[in-house]
Amino acid sequence: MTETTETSSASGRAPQEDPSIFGLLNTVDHRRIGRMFMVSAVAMLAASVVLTALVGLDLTDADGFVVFDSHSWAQAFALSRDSFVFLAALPFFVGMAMFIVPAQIGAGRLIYPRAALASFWAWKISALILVGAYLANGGPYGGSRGDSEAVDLHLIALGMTIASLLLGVVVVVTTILSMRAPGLHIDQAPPFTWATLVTGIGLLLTLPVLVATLSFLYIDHRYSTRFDVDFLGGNVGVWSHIEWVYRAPTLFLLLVPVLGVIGEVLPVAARRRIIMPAIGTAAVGAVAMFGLGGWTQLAGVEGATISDGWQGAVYVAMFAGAKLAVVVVVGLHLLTLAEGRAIPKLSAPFLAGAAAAAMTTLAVVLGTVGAGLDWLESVNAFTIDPELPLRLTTWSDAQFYLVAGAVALGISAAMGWWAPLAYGRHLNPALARLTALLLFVGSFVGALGSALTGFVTGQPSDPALNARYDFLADPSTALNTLGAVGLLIFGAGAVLLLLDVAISLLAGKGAEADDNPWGAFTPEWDTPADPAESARLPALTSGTPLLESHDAEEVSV
Amino acid sequence: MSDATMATYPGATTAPRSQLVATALAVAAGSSLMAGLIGFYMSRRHAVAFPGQDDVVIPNAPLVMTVLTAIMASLVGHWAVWAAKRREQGHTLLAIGATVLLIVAFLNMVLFSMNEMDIAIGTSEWHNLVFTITGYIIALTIISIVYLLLMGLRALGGDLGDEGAALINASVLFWDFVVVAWVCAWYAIYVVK
Repeated sequence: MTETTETSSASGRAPQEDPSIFGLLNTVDHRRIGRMFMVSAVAMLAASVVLTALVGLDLTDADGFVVFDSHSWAQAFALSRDSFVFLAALPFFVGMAMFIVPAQIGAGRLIYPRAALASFWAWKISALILVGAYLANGGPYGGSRGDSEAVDLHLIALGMTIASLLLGVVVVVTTILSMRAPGLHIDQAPPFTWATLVTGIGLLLTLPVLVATLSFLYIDHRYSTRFDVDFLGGNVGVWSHIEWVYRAPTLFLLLVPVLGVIGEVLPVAARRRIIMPAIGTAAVGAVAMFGLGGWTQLAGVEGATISDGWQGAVYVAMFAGAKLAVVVVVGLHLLTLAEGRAIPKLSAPFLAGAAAAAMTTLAVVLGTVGAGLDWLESVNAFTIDPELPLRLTTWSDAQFYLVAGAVALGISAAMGWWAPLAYGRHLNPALARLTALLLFVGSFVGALGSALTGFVTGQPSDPALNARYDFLADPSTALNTLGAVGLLIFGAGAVLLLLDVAISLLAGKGAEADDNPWGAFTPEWDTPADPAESARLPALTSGTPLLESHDAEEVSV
Repeated sequence: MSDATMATYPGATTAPRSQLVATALAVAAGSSLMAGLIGFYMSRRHAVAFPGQDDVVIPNAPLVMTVLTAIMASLVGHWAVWAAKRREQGHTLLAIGATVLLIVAFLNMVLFSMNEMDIAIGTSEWHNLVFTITGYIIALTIISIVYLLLMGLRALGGDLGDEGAALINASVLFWDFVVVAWVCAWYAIYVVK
């Protein structure tokens, strides 16, 4: 055995970087590109969750809008979904993967760093154009004041945002498949790398279906209006054709990288490997498989029929399969903690990871119950009062909030866990714990309000219907108020996370970190930080080499 | 760094077949895109029966020729891979040239067919959907030509053998995907109608 590199402080991990705009534009350092993605995504996370809370506030008064108006509410609703998925959650995990995966697999770098950089800047520019299109009245249901070009811009920008993220996904997945260190089989890769791989493949098979739909919508909206006909519904039809991506089962794909983060954090707290790792690995893969939701768009093109008949059976099976797989993963981690070598320290990443595990479980359970009830109703085995199937009521919003909570907690855990590697500093422990608490309580209460509103009153989730206020009776305003309070707490948690990242990491006010402050097992904690030092990289035979080294030392003693 | 020590290796300076892997992933995404486009088309046809479609006269003979030409280009492309593996530079260049020529002929026939059908964007839903699907096929075809030409330049520089063949194989794999996508689109749009 030879030393990988000399001992150095973690604060010295960050290599010297050109701080100018040219440095940002032409860097090929995967760590820097990853950090650029992560910081931008955390900022967008705060903005999108606050917007979600404002949208929720508008449902608390049966007499009128509180924040938006009848013209802008539906667009604000759509932007809150767009921004969470495509400007916050996915870019964060793509960036985190770019930062950490090469070190986890002993590759030292990404396979195509310039493509990764192109992915970042294309995403950034597309995201700005997307927000600009919304501000110009171009979102779904927009374009009604003679500004239909803004709707075209929105469709193009959303397509470009997705395409640029997919480019990043191709770079990361190719790196995992073709640059692993000799001896590291894919099933032995660290949990986050495995989760990244299966999420990436899932995204590559799902999001192009949305790009296809956006292409049709663009052609229809851009050119058919010259003949005063919108075959696909024009600006009003946009949302009904793209909203499937913000619903389960597609949403399950967002949970997979969260399971990867949980797989890194919780076993370390127990000071042992996860129990039955092969089953855990297969279960994470299964969640991604059940998240392949592109077919729901095709099945639902001509109406909300996917919870009926054979499609309904497939629909329920996907929910049930995802639930079973998540329960297996979370259960294995609980067993690991129960049989651990040490009592877990309640560090901020551990708390956020544990809360993310709970929220992930709640999300799949709620979704399965809703899908099951809808299917039972479609075969006349069960009847509930609301006229609409549950999946078309705010019940589905509740599932979105639970998934959003799990993702935000996963982001919080990942930032706290890998901040010592990315910035050589820790997040503020007290702020990070408070962030985890607010994110957990806020998303749970927000989801509770929405779930009850959907179940009790049948309030529709479609923003166009929702904004009419026909349905708002006393019970729904009270329950909507409960949901809005939860979402405000959720928003406060997301803003706190952004502030903590800005102050502790970007401004350098956080405590300096040791080399491996958590006693983690995975290879990135023993890999040189500076690319110049990467002339020799660890040869790996498992994803937990540091645990094996530790075990070997114990045996020799 | 921790005190734990690990065996090391010089680091991945080259990544054999990585371009083939990246292309395979792009093909997976492209397949999903084309499945989305054709699936959307079929769903809408099932729902609305496309008024205006009956007015279009479909040029069956040129469209069948597009399919045959695309398949021929694919076969010739695999000849290029076969030759590159055996370091036959002359054969490799000839095969790549013939492949590109056939693909250009394919492109010409697709454009001719569209022109014959007088596909006018915005006039009916059928026109819009066919325009979009064919537009993607044309774009993917142009990407295939550029990709093959770049690999041809590498072959010209003597980059052959297993690694060179893997690169040419990647570009041919991309063309294979375009062929399958076109055959599916042709069957769904012009055969099933």
